[in-house]
Amino acid sequence: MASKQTAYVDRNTHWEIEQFLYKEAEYLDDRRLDDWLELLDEEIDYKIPVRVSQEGRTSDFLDTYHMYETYETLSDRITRRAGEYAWSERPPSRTRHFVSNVRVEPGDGEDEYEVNSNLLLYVSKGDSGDYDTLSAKREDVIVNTDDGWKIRKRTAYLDITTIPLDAMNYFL
Amino acid sequence: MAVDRIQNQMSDALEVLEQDGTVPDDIYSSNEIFELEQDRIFRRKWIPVGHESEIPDEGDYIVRYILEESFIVVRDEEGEVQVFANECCHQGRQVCHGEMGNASHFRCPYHGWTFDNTGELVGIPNLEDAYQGNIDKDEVGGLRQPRFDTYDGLVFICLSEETEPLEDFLGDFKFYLDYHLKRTSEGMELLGPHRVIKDTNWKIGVINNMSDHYHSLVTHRSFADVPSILPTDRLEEDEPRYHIHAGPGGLEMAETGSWFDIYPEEMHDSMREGLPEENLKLMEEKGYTPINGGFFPNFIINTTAVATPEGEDSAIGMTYVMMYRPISATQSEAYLWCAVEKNAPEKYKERAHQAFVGAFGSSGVADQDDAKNWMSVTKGSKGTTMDLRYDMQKETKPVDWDAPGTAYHSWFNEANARHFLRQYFEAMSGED
Ligand code: FES
Ligand SMILES: [Fe+2]
Repeated sequence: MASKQTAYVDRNTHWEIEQFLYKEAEYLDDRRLDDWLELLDEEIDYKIPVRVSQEGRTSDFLDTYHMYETYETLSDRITRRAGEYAWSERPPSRTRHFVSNVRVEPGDGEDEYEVNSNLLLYVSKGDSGDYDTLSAKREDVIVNTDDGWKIRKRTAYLDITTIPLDAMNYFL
Repeated sequence: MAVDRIQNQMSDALEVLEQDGTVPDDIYSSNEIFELEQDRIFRRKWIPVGHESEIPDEGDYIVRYILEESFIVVRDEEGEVQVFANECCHQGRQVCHGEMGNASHFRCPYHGWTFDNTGELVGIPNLEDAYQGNIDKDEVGGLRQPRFDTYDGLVFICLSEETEPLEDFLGDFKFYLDYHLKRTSEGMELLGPHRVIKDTNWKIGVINNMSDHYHSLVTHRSFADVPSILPTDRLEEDEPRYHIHAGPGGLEMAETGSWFDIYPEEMHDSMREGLPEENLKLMEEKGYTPINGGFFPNFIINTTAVATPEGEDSAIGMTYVMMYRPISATQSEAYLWCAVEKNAPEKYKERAHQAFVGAFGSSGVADQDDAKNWMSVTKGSKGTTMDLRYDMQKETKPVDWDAPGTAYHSWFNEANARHFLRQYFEAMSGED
């Protein structure tokens, strides 16, 4: 059997998954959050662990998360934001998700893939000339279902320890 | 001299606060005022920097800041908490670079002086060649130890020798802090911290948490849209509360019966064991439950019922802790933790943690709408000065109260905000 490093998937699958991730980024940036939700599997496990600058220990992540979400909580966050009273997003932030370095490998199940990508998020708000960026490595499990491609698992590993934004209010 | 001028201003502001309940808004953005705050407050008061549970094992350490100055909080080989300035006693290089870790020794990367985790200098490289033996390690001393102390597991540093001892500083607020942090026979553990840099002055959030139920109706109205992350804050009910201030702190208490129904049955005995008798009495006999609070200068704590993804009726009790570290007049770093009972069932811990992330952590829906207010107040306070009103229920008299502190019985009240601001102006003007 091929080793992990050389377990490529066919070009077409790779291309489809890449296009899927770009589409996902477009939905997020165009604030089509209900459409974004459609791209998630109902069993989704969505996490953004808290990074920490460590010495003398093996992991540089804490046992806590900036986001620790299920399909239901993600959907509630979206509902809340669509309502009138989510003040922190009035007016909404402008974001741009840059997705690159997409690597696709076969996953555990038959139509399942382990997809790693790099993410750069740009955020600008209100009438200020300032902007913020966040960079992360994403580890996804993406499945091909009867309803099309879906994200079943996402862990976004931030490169920064202390969040430079007023709140970690963005889907990565 | 600029300092005298500002101190006089602060002294005038204290008078205006007592008279009218208003304060000048430049306390939220003036650089000159921030200069003075550093000396009068952050280098004089007891400043909380973390919790013992963050360093459970021997050799565990965390690095924390007061203003820009960094300190190592470490558990030594005897299991005792120690605090050191993160500065080598040779030529001042920082000896510790991570935010946390585990080490029996700190070795300075500059010239290699080595300290054990009681701070003692135990090694000087090339001792003979460098000093011809003319150096006495004991005389040089080790890592500089600031004044520090702990209460309810919280670790505090005080950069002044003149300030009263921690217990005296906390005074009557200890009673209320115990509700949140002395709740089991084994104590609490803190998960986190989430660290977030916000464009806000450090005072606004603390004042808000000590006193402001008024904002909940508007700021947190979106909770109604999100059943699974909804803190079951009784937003629409006209619920009288007690607004209490004691020692350096203030908090609100609801009259909604004891906490115990929002904690799993199997935790009750140990909670009863942990809580001091007087605390239990007030809760069980009167049905008063402490909710949000904080103390001067920069500490916030809140125990509240929060729904979890398990559904609307699944509200559980959870506690969060927050500290503000000022970076400038208009920027602060928030440290946010979820506090859980150490001996709680894993399942409960998991749910409390998830509730924290949804509502109060770095992405929390409560925290982000709060933060937006605080940042906007900070921004608005730049430029032309106007007076901000903290005069709500100013003429209302305190009620009889069987516990420490001064209590007011009303739905909304800004007595605790005035209590914070009074301490603030007293410290700033030198009248404390
Ligand atoms: S500065 Fe630390 S050994 Fe010289
Ligand atoms: Fe709030």
